[in-house]
Amino acid sequence: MTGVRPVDLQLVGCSKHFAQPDGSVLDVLSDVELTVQGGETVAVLGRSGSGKSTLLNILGLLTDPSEGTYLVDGRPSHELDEEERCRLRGERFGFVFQDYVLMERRTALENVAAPLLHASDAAYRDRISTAHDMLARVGLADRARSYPWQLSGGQQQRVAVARALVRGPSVVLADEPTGSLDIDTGAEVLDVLLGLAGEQGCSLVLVTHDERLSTLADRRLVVEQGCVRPLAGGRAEAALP
Amino acid sequence: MTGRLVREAVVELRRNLVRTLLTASGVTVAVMAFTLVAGVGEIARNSITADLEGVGGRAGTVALTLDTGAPLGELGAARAADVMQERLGRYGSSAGSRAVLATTETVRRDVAPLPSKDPDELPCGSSTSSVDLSADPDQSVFAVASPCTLPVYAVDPELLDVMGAPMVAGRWLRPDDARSTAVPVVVSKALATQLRDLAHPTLESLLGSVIRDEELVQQPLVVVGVVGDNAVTGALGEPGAGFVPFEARTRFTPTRDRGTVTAMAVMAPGGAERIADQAAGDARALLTQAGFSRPAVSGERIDEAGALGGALRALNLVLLGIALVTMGLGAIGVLNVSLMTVRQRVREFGLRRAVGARPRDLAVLVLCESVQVTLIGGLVGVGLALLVGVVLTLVGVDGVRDLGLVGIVRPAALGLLVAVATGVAGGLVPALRSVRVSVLDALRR
Repeated sequence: MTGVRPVDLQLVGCSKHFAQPDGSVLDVLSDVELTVQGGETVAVLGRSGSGKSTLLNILGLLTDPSEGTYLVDGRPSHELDEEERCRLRGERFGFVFQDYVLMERRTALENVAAPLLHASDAAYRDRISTAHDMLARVGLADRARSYPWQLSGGQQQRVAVARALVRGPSVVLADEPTGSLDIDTGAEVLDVLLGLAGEQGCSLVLVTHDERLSTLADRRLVVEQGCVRPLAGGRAEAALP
Repeated sequence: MTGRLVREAVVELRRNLVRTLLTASGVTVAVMAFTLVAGVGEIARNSITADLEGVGGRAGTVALTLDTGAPLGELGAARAADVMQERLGRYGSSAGSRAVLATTETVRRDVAPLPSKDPDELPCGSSTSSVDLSADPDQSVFAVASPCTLPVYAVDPELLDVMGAPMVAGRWLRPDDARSTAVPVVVSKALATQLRDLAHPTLESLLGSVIRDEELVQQPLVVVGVVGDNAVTGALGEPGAGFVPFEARTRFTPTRDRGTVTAMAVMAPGGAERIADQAAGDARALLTQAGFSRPAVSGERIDEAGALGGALRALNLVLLGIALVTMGLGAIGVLNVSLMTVRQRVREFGLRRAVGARPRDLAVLVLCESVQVTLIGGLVGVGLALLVGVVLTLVGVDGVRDLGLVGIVRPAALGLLVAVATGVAGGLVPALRSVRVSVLDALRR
């Protein structure tokens, strides 16, 4: 499944504040300038609470910046109504969460097929067939009928990866996809994720604590004190003459 | 999209089979109770209506009476009757009859037996004997018990259907009676009682008797039947009345025409109350146009079924109230389970929103699940109620046996409808809750 429509994501002077219960305001992100090109892999590093996930949520249209503009293919996010956001999330974005977020009462196959239900006109058989193919690509064809509680953590995350990629998104937003896994399993999952994202030609924004894993990305960024800075050590940089 | 969501809802319900069955069973009991309770009301209503129709009570009867206060003469009476019948015919009446009060006053009259009791073989009046009423009553077997009035109505044979009054003896008028040489007359029970004498001690013995009044009636009247009294005969005039064929009215020469000419009665199921005044007003206008000066037309609603229906409606309201309370409890059960389900599935809803589900998709999904549960419960409940109906029919419970399952079909359909409505009502709040789920908050749970 290659040839996805690339998407350009651009944050222009974006800030994000949260009101605290005591009335104070917490600045999570400040004046962020960031561009994600179609097809590139970006690793976002930073300490817990630094704003990495908030950055990812803004990119995934799950929340809006408090200030500044977020452009999706040149369109400001604040101009998108909920219907349009849903459509874009379904068609252009894939999400991988740290704790998998699988539907417990649904089989692995049904979990993978979920995005197709809400964002595709395909018939039931076609949806199931597509989901089964994707499950096979993450190496879980034989566990299609298994429920999440019957799968290991690594397998569950691979199901989540399959779910994120099943519609051929333009960009996958992965929030610490290996955070709940041991090192080896995490590496395996990341291999699958990077491999499939590369095959499909989609962008990947990867939030991680793991310096080692971040070196697999084309570009590395770090979030510190609300600011996003480039970090040396990405693959793209290494490829430079 | 909706079709896919319906299927998704089915999957969700199957994956939570125990919860689904428990919720549906609550709805089943509620719908079954609703159907049976509403069915009892329906059966009671049908049963009472059937009973009423059996004894002559109708869904509604409108009687129009024209009183000009002056003699109209034969042609005037007939014309007024035609106008009023034409008017009443516009109200969708299922039966109608003309009744013309041809003569209203009679004093002591002769009553004479005929050789033959067969009305079809009635000879003309000349074969009957007249009795001098001044003769000694002790020596005369024909003397009437007391002076009596003889209001005679010329009526259509269909009037009996309208009146619904039972025949006490003999028969009612037939269409071919107008051609009989001797004019057949059916007397009311009240008049027959007055006419009885020593020679005619029973009502049956009056059959074949001749009522002769050379002043009032050109030809003798031959009694062919005795009809019971009821509200309609009373409304037409005095209870002590005689009825002769309408087409034979020209063979009367009433000496005294009081001017109370025409009474019309039609059966108007369900609409009697509404059309009584309207019909009277319309008839009044038409009669004025037809040249009658200041016609006094009164419309009267005679509605035995309606009178009982009031009490029945109250009973039905009580039963409906009980049924609705039952369904309300079912709805609360569904609401409770649906709310709990939404709360448990907040994370799932957040995920669905993240992968492209629109808020309304989630609302439809929740509503589908709710309606499907109540539909399943409703179908089973209605099925059980029908089963109970079949058993009662087979056992032969009064009312149910006679009416079969007809009485319960409508409540069953209503029960199913209410079940679906319950599903919508019970699922609406949870559906709205699902719409308000914040994606980020849901995913953090």
